[in-house]
Amino acid sequence: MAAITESEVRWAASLMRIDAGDAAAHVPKVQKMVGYFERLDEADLGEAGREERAIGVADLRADEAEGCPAGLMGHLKGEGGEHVRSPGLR
Amino acid sequence: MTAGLALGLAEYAEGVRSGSVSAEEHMASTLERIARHDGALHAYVSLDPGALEGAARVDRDARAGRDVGPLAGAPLAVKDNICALGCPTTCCSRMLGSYRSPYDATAVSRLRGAGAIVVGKTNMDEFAMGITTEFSAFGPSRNPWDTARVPGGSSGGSAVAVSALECAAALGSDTGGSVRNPASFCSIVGLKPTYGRVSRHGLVSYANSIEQIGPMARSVRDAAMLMDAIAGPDPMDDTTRLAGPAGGHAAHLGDGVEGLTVGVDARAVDETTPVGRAARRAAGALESLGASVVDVDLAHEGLSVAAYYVITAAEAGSNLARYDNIRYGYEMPADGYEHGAYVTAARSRLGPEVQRRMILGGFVPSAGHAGQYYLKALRARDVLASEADSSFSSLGLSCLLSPTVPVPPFRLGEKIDDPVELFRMDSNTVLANLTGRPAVSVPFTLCGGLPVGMQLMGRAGEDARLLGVAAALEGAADEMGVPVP
Repeated sequence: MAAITESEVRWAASLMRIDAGDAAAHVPKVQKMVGYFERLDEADLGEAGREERAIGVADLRADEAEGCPAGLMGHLKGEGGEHVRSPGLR
Repeated sequence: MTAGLALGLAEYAEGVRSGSVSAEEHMASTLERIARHDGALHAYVSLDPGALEGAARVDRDARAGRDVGPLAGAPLAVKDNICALGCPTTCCSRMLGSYRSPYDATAVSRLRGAGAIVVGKTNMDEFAMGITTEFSAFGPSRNPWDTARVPGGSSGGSAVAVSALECAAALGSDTGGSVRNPASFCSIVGLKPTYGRVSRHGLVSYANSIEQIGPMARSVRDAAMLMDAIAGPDPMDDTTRLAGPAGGHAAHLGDGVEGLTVGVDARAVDETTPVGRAARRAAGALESLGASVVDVDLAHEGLSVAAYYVITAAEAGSNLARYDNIRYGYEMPADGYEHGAYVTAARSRLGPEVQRRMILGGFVPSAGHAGQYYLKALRARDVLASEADSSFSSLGLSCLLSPTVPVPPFRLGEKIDDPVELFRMDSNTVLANLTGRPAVSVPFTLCGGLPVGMQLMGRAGEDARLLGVAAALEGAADEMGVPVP
């Protein structure tokens, strides 16, 4: 089983912009989880690859600003009178 | 008092329409019950103060002969990661402690359109990452059958509320069993619909390619009624391409199982345990009702939990990027921080389990590790889907039966320090999520005085037929009663 080190925990935490604090405290649980995942690497899953589908940046849809009921803006943080409604899941 | 609160949704709504049941009195009794029991059970994290007034309006409409909808003011609970206009939606995280939804999730607006009233938001594991509610920033919910035990999760609050008659039914969300696991632990019905059957618009995203909103109810018929209200295409979610079944989700409830073939997931049934023996008894009950029962062996099923956690960690890592305290978050002065340091400092409010999953989300798809974990997990997902497809078609299966969870509800704190032990609790449920199939947990029996549910996983898009088999199993289940007087 690959050993997860404190520095790897710090590195992954920095990628996700979280403060790992005492990174050593996370090591045992993260080690156990990653150790469990190794069965994937050991399994014979055949050779077939996945079909990849790439979408160019220019083809991505834009988010649309939508209004919302009056009086609710106070609940939103820093959107200055208008918020971007959760975009459609397209 | 419990008799009135235990009414089925159809019977309740008919009573409101005919005037024999008052929606306002029913709501008042529900709120009274919450006040009496929820201090111990902790199903709710917030209540809607307008619920009682809304119910009085339903009574006035009914008296005036106006349409009150099929749900006629029924008090419904909503998991706290599903947006309900004006209500807090905290995902039980300190990160979103003061966030209120500026709009309704599609599922919620459809329930309101059918006449339902949201009574409150329910407890859950933070951002749905857990299976016990012990990772909620508000503290855990407790199992109404034994308050020293977990109610399951992550939709544990919804399950407790339904089981303890603190609402008529509820919405949960299911990423790896989060509707079915607590349904099993609290003796209620929980359905994870086919992926694409119910809109995810307004569900706070955790793992978009897997999760679904699902109904949690005291009977299969009530779950079907909720599905009729919430299912169907939604322009705000292009994954909802599936039209509802002709005749509605209750169309097959009386069909029985005569002539159907039910598979038993042999790897999930350990007959040396009480839960495994209960699963065999459930299979026998379906057989005695006319179904053919065959054992099914899915060779790669042992990879499903690992594949599930790798894929969800990667998707969660991406989804949680929005909690940067700029788009979503809480008041924290920015003076003295550069941008990255500010985001990092703000995220210290995320709980330890969420932080761990984010660390995994950074680790498993990263350069140098993706081939070992993430790409293998995607491949395993394809293999599992193809294996399930071929078993269903070669054996002519209508559904696959297993225990929903391999064990009865366990004690609070018993497994919290062992992540792999918690992973194993998902071993029977994640396959439906990875393959997009519908699956339902039906309360079946008590083992040592604790509820045990059976899971039926069906064919994609055949949610109504699956509910038909579930209704047959429900009819053969042991009488369990209400856990809280």
